[in-house]
Amino acid sequence: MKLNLINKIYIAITICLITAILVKFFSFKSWDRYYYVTSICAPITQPIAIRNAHFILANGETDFINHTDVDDFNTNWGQDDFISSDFEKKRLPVKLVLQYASYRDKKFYNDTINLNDNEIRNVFKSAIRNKQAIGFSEYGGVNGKGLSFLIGIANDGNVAVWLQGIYLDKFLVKRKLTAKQPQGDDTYYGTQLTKEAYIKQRFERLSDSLKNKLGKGFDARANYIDTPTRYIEKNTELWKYQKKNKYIE
Amino acid sequence: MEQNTLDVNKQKNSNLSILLIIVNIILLLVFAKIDTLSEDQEIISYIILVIGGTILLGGYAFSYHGKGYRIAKWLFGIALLVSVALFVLLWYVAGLAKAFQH
Repeated sequence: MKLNLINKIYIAITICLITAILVKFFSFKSWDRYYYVTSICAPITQPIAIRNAHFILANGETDFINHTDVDDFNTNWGQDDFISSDFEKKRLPVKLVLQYASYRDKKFYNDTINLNDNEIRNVFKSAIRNKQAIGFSEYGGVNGKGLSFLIGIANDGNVAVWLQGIYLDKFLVKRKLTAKQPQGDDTYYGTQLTKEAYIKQRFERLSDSLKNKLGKGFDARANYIDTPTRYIEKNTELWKYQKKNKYIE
Repeated sequence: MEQNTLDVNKQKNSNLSILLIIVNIILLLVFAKIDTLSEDQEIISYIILVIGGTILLGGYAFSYHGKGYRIAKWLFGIALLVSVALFVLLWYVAGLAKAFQH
């Protein structure tokens, strides 16, 4: 049989499509994607104002982390509070970028923390195998199972990252950031401000009673960074209840 | 006799074309589905499928002439109509979305 023109075109299209599928498949890496959510916490007595917090993922994408609770001075050390919106499988994070100002020492931090994605991957794999993954839901119903990152920002630029699941509280990394002189958009809040004006504006809604307490040096030397999250302890009762009612395996 | 061989060849080519159209549509579907993570992105795969399907059918309809191949022209016509309808719908939806911006 002699091939006519249209079949030659169709075969060319087929070859192009197969190539395109292979390229897309190997750059997307669906086998190396996981469900996860992230929350940030700070001690109630060490208020901070975050300007920017995001992960850089293995494929270079940026994954912004919600920090409204911290900015509202509404978190406590070791307290996770994630929102599972815009929910899809993502590549694992390799870097954590943090830019924030702290109230008590009036210092500015802007740094990048390297994460060990091999270690994170192993935690994910073992958690999924051991049924420790949390069921996340979107529009009701469980959409996917994954883990939750918790970033703790303590006093003196100390930062810790945990990876949490059911009966799982894995400490990943601890770093002490060095404070930097604020520059560029570090002090931008609606408009470019001076260091003092920025601190004043960002912490305007901090309650007066707390400001008073902090002014008297309350809890000033507390060593939060070495304080565990007590995540498992706090959730054991919930998990027992969920297990009994077959919400979790 | 000569005419007969030509006809047989044409028939074989036509069968191969139909097979390739089906294979290509399946490949298009696979291509569109690889990075589909949420339902929001599904509409894009429909657009790729409808446009791709129309072009493939169009190639077939304009390559084979004669009595037995008339149905291909009908199918192409229907595919074209579906494409146009989809575009009008998308255009309308985009217009609506624009109107809701404040």
